[in-house]
Amino acid sequence: MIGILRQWLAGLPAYLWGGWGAIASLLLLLAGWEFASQWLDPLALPDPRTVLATLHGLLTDGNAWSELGITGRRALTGFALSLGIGSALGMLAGLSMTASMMARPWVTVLVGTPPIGWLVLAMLWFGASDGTPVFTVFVACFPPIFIGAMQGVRTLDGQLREMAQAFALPPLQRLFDLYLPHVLSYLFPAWITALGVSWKVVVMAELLATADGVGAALAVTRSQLDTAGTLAWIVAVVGALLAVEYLLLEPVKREVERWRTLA
Amino acid sequence: MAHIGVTAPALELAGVGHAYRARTVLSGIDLHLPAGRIHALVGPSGCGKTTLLHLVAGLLPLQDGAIRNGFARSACMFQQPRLLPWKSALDNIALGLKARGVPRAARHAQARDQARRFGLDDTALAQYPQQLSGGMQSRVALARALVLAPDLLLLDEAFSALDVGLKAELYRQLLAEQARRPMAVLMITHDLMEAVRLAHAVWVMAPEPGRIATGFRFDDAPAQRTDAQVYARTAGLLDDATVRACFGLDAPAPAAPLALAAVGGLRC
Repeated sequence: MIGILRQWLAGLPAYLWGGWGAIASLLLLLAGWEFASQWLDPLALPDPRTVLATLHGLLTDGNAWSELGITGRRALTGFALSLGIGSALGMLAGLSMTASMMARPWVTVLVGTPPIGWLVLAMLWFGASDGTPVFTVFVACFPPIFIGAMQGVRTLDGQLREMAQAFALPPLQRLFDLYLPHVLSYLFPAWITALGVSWKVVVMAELLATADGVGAALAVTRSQLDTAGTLAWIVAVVGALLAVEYLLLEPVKREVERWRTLA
Repeated sequence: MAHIGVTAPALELAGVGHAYRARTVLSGIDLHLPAGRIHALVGPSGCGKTTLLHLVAGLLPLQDGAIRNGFARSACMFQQPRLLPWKSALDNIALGLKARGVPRAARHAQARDQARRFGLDDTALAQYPQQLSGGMQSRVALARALVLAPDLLLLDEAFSALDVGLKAELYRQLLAEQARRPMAVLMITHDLMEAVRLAHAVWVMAPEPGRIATGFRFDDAPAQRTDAQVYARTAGLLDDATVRACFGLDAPAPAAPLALAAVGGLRC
């Protein structure tokens, strides 16, 4: 564990340096935004500097941190539930042909049901509590994770399984040396997709169902026709998502899948 | 079946048969493989060779007959290297040792020793399988089996996809290992010449249902055989009417019923 952490820290500078391309392209987007804002009414599209100043204001008076914290807690709770339950059930379903055949239509139903529909149901079930956004996030994140886990197990090479049997690998070693590394290569992309979904869905759920969090703050800016405030919150949410994905999940994924990239 | 002393370990097959649903793929297989000998099962594709090896390796449940494996440790090598792509070459070699509960430092040391004999240096050992050439991967796969110091080694067409140079090298490694300690080897192959080069006994299988049609003994040490001897014996085998029938070849050329005995082969 310590070794992984040390490798992660050692790799960080090169990793961040490699991010210059991405940062440059984001700055280009910012420039486009600023250019467009010169031609549009500030009420429709305020210029980025105003938005960043608003965001800075929100962050310095401490308000934004608590709202972001609340939203983050809900999003990550729902995401973590999905990650645990979806990965476990998906892997179990993958072990049996019958279970995977049966699970597929259910997952299609889950994917096909609009998140807003789940949100209304959740409001009826959980009211204005944390349960509503957490449940909505859970349901929205579940299908991609479940499918990733199921496919991971189903696609495991039968030849490797036979080899493991011939070399009499005990069950735990089989799990850690054979099943998990293979399944993880399917799970990681699914987890990253689900993480993005969780942030989008949590803000939507808060907008309609709760009195606090970023979504609720967006509801306030909307009622006050505060476009700069709205964009400031959006920037904050997207920034938080990028931070979690690129500072946490991506590096872990790179470390776990080093064998794949070295080919 | 030959009579042997009670203490000498051996692999005994008696009346082994196997069927997939209604299709019988093996029937009445008898085999006796004592320690330190190399036996080859040759036959055309689909004659049940692989099924037989899987039965011996315990990868398939036994349906008919009896298999008595008196060897304490067995190991396998397959036609494909079948290495774990997410483990370094070193960890792949040490896989079977890990399964036996050998501590990390000890299993790495043993794996390194074995690898060095195979010409795998530390750089190669630190690499992942897909960074290695096909030949290196095969060496790793053979090292993974031999590092277990098996007293029974099962080879499932292990060398058939390799180029001649690499084949020759792995043959040498195998025979060198076999010279070091009395390891029994059961190899299946469709390559007659490979069987004739390596084995003390060659069993020729006929298809539908898979059965042993005939067998030949070569009593000299495999490491001492010259290329010319191997060619002559292979030609001798190929002139045998039963062998030709097994492989679906036309009847032998009537001209020369080549005396296999003249080149050191005896019908069992």
